[in-house]
Amino acid sequence: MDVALCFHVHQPFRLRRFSIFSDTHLPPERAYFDNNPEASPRPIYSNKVVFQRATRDCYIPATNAILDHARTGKKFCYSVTGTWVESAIRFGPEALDLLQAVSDTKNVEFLGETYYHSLAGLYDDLSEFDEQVDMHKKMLKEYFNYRPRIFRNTELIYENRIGEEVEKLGFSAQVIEGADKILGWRSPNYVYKRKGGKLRLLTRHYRLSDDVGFRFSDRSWPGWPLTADKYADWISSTPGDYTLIYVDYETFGEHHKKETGILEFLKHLPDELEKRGVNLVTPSQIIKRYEPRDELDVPFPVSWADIDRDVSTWLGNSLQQYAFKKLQSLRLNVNSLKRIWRLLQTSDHLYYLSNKAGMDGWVHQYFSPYDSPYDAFINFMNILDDLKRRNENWKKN
Amino acid sequence: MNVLMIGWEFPPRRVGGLGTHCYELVKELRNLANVTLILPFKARMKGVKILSIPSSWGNAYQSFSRSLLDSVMAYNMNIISAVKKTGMKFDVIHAHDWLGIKAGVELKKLTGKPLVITFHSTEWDRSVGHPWDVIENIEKEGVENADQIIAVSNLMKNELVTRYNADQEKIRVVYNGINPSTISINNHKGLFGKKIVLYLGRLEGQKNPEALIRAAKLVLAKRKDVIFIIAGAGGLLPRLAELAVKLGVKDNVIFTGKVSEEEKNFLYSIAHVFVLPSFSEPFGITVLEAASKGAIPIISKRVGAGEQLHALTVDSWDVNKLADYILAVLKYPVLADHLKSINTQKLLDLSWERVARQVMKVYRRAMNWM
Repeated sequence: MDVALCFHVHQPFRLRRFSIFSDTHLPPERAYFDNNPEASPRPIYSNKVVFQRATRDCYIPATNAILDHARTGKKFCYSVTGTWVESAIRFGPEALDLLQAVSDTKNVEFLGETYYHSLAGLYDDLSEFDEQVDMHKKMLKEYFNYRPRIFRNTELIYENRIGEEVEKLGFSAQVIEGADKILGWRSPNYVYKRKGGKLRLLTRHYRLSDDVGFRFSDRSWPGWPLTADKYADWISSTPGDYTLIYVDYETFGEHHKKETGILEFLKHLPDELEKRGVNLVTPSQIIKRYEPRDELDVPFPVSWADIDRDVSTWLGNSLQQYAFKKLQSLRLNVNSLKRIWRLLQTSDHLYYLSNKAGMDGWVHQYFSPYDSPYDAFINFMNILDDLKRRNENWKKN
Repeated sequence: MNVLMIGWEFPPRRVGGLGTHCYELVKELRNLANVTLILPFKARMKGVKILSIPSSWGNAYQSFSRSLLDSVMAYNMNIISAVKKTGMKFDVIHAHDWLGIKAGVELKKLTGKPLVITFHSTEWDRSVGHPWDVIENIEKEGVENADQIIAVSNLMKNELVTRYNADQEKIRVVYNGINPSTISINNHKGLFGKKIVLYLGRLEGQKNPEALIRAAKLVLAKRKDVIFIIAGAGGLLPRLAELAVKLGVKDNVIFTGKVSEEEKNFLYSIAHVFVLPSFSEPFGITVLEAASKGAIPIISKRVGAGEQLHALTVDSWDVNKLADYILAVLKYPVLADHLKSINTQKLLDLSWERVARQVMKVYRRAMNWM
């Protein structure tokens, strides 16, 4: 049995409170993004504060744990967004230094994706998607001297159309959610390929992934407490060719705090796996070793989000659909504004508009700097309108 | 079950949410229990025994002068002696706010029957943080002696716990309701092509109508086609009118004075936005009423109705955000439509029948606790 441990490393550039009365003489980057905690009404959500907290609680201890193992030849897999790297350069260079050190061991695979962690893969016209994937490739080259061969889309969003495009862009495989609705009776522990094409599809084992990502510190969960040896037992007894575990990097020390034992778990897991004859491998090694068993036909987008495992987390309500349409159709002819537009495409901004769980038990609230999804909508639209205005003024001058 | 309810306001003599609440609650309760309602004036409702007990009721609610306290005291004392005299039988006593607490507590002592008190607001809310200790002491006495307390929102519950050290265990939150048959979402908003932003309520400090006049100034700087209707009467009227003149928005602000039930419904139905920027509003039934006619509520975070409906919420001092939200609702129909459809669903679940059933459960709890 092989296992691939994949980590999703991402931070958005969260937005400032921007009202229709806000000062529009500031340069857009300063006017829109919450980068200066001293000027933020909610410093705990300010990008710098969030990043530095995550660096202290997660990026440094977790990456150190991985680094020790990578130096002994064990393999790991990372997906790192462009906005994370930019944030790291500004707010937490040591987090990036450490990740580069892991990369230098050559025992890491980096996955390709959209630079801005955007939903561009769902746009009517995929040229923006192509450009963002290319930007991300260039980023990986510059910071990690790495050329990605395997792709993962934002939040593992996948449908046939995306697979076709990703294959066209030269990737040999894509990591997707092992959702029941696309696998049916089939197991996520085999390699598949996209319908009518060559692109290999690697499916995330969501149950085992969520055991760590969501349930690790849940004392009412029968699996609690989850120890490295118990988890390694579960993985080693899973039938199939491989198991793909994929979680938010912040799982380790941020979503689950250090006190829960999550960092110890991470530290010991690789050895416990090897003890049981489970090899830590990269996704590339998996597709080299195993032939695809079947084709997957995915006519509607699936993702790894929520119970629905579709795109309703970002596009589930009419506010999200409206904002998405406006965002997508915005055409800017000023290059400096185009970059701002792309920063606004980061999927997190639409995620804050979700009211899926209702206001009462608003699950998404934990991650959201806003009073309500409506507050988030108004703020986002105010910014989008302002950006449009700036673009038009530029044209006039 | 025989319920003795001590009321104060009742249609057509009602001045606020308490009157609406009593009327609608009793109307539903009469199908579930034998209700005897005590009021300080004559009133009638089929299936309910109404006992009118005199007080020096006058125009007392207009100001919190000693005369209100005097008439409440007289009312309470008269209730006690009337109940003693008639030897009336009941299983539970139910008082609303401080207005019936004195009698409620005394009757509990006399008869050993359990006491339920509904808090619609406290002296702290009504006085905008400058409470009169005489009334506070009455409320405290009520909190201590009640077997069960009904709070109209979690805001109210938390206030009772922090201010009066109330025992959380005996507080139930029962939200106000709406009559489902009155829900009629009007999608043809506006009047003479103008957008309508409505405030409706007493014009007094607690409700903070001033915030809307200040927001009007900001809104009008961005678009001219908005009319702000300030409906209701109260001591702040001259000051608000003066402010509208001073800020140069008087042509777009209309003061209607006190409105009838019919006028009220008309205003709700033409309003795009309903604003309630209160400093403290444990519930705010007007928010449900406005939403039931399709007006989008923008309310302060201190309005309890926000726990039941999806509303845009602001801090009461945040005039800038209030204006920003008003403009957003007017600019993005998708936002208004979204809120309307969610709230229509929510309103359908908020019937007074549901309120009555919850109140019955509270009575049962109170009776078992003895």
